[in-house]
Amino acid sequence: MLHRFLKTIQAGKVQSLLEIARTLDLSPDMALHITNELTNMGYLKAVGADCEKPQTGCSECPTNRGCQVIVRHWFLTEKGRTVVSKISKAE
Amino acid sequence: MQLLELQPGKKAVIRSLEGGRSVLSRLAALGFTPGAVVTVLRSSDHGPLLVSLRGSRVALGRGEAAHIFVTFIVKEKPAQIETTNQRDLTIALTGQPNVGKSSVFNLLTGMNQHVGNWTGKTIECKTGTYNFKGTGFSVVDLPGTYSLTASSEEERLARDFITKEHPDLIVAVVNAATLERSLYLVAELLLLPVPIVVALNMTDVAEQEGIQIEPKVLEAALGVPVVPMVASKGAGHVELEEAILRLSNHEISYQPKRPSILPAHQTVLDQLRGFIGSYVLPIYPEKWVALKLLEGDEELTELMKSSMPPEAWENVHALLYQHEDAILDIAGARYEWVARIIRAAVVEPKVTRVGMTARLDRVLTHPLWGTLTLITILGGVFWLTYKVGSPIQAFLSQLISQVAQILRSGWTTGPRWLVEFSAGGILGGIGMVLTFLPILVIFFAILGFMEDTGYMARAAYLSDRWMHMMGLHGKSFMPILLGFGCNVPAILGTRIIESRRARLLTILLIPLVPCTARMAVITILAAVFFGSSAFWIAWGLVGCSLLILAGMGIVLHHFFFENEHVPFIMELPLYHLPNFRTIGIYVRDNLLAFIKKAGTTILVATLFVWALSYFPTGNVMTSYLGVAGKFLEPVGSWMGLPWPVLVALLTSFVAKENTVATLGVLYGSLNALKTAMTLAAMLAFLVFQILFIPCVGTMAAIQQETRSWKWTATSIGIQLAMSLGLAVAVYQIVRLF
Repeated sequence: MLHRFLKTIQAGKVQSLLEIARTLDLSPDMALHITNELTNMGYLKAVGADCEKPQTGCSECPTNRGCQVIVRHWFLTEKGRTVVSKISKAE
Repeated sequence: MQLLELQPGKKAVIRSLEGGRSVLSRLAALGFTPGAVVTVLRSSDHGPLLVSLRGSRVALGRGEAAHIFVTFIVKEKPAQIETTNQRDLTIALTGQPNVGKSSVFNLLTGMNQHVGNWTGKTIECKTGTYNFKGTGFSVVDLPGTYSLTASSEEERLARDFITKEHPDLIVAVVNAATLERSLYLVAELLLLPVPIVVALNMTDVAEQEGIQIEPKVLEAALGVPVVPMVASKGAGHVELEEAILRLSNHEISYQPKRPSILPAHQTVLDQLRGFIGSYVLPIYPEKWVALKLLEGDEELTELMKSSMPPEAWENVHALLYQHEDAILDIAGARYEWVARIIRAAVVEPKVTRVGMTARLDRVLTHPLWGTLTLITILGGVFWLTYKVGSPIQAFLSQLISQVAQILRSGWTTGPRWLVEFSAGGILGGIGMVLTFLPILVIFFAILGFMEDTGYMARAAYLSDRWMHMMGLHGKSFMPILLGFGCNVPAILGTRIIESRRARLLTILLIPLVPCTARMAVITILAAVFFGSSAFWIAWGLVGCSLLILAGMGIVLHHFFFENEHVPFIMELPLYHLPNFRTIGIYVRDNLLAFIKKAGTTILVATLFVWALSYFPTGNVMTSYLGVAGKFLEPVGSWMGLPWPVLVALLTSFVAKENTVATLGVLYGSLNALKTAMTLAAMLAFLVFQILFIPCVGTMAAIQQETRSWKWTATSIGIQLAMSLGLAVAVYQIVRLF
């Protein structure tokens, strides 16, 4: 299941959790659960997670609410890509 | 109190969550559930909140955070868990957050409860007792957990209790409406050598949502007793007590069907057991410890490492290293196990939000139809903003001008500079900025609506698709998407790019992304300059800005990034009906921030500009600013812009909105600009404004991330050259017609 999840991301044909959920016959909640799990395991990394310290000018910016990530992204880490490549070779 | 009110560094317990089902579901998916301990790591007045929750750091928008209510943790004297001899049997009550575990606990124990804290911890611990058919039970309500991976304090406590205290029985409470998610924990619990009863709670909610669950089929699939319940209404507790008693007395068969692992990993597991067998503490089940080691459980890895001689541990370490990706198979098997059970026991409704979202997405995320919809919606945002907001702004602007006039003519006794300070500086500057509040109310309300319904994420998704189709993909594009909110987090987001060169290029590209502040200023100025045509101008400017960004991005990717492909996914929430309270909070937050800024940064900058434009002669043309401004005239003449307009543009370096305030001070009324500039000059000015160097906050972020003044200056230079060059080009071309 998790291999297929990572392989689907690597294939690049789907780019949203909803599409992955549909492809793998999961609920969106479960797809998010798996994504968080894979992030904890180090196979995925969340984009924007480094935006964690107060920055100069942030408090003064009238639209700093925009700092809220409009849409959450995760990308396949080196570890993730390595494991997918291993699976592909094994297949 | 609201989570928003919690100061950085403070820790509190989530007491309740308010809002629509979709909001609650989204928050629950992130782990924000009643009882969870949350620590605020970062909180600015109006920025996102960064919190520590269940061992992870989570960034939360203020709109989302407004739904969460917390209370401070009261440090009580640590309580010992009561498992005294007076009780015959000990039951551990487990479950994920939001499954109604507390209701089940209250049903079982009634008034016989004790609330304290876990020994040495700040997490609440509830214990209680009850008697059923002559047997006494002690119930321990374990903290809500998603799994037994010990990635948070709650999970560690729950699993330590089960593995070390050896309860006689576990009651796993699951939410029938979100059974798929709840069953993952059950999959882990089944691996422990303690019998389990599943309390299938909230069956009424599942029914309301059209989800049909067959408890008997579920029971057969799990191999453990399943008791349907509606704990909030007191239904099912007798059946649960009966099942607990019968299982305790071995009156019903207990043959759990656990998730299996691959035969290859079974061999590894056996090998591991052979290595660790004699070193595992008696309190832990050996097989479970071996499995957890294979899963990479940090706590147990450390424990075993310290319990074993180095040479013995070396064998374990080598085996684990060789099978470091085994966790994918083990966890994956659990997800497949969950999926199989769901397929067997659950019938989903034919019409679901997931299905509706899929149908809507077929159109709204389609490369052609979705893009056309996005363009139409974007146009609609500007149209509505101008159609409704502009007349109100014009009225307020006139009102401010009249009040200023009355002040000048009526206040004859005061010193002239003070009269001018009040009428020209305060009313002309800040007053003028505030007249645009109606336009911003509409603008932010529509943005809030788009975000709350789930459409905003589709807009980002579509932009990404287009960029992807043009060859613009990879790690550089992901931070760029963040820039549409604010350039600062986008600059920080480039930390995901390993290559310094690629990172630098992306940082240089990000200031081209029109952030919300720039969009707001363009929305305001287009209305002043172009009246009923403002909609087309604002829409076109944003479109052109995106085209320039795409063009630059394509060049960068083809020549510097060698078309690297970085696979990624993004979260698209399900569509749902808008919650007007949430939208209201969004609008309120943005407006308050805008007003606050008008009263601080913009006020100081405006008064500084006013002072320079008034002293020493009281005439702007012969003032300090007038003298200095004349040096800008040659540059302004390339675009047909008078020097005060260029001064206004320069003040936007402090904050984008300063342009509007400065124009108000220097011209008294923004409408006067129409006579001071030609149509070509107005268009050139807007092009100059949207592409002009970013605000000081973004510049500071660039300096911080590049650690180079040279690259910061380069960024300013590029933006300045591009904005100036294009503004001159636009002016020179348009004046030909």
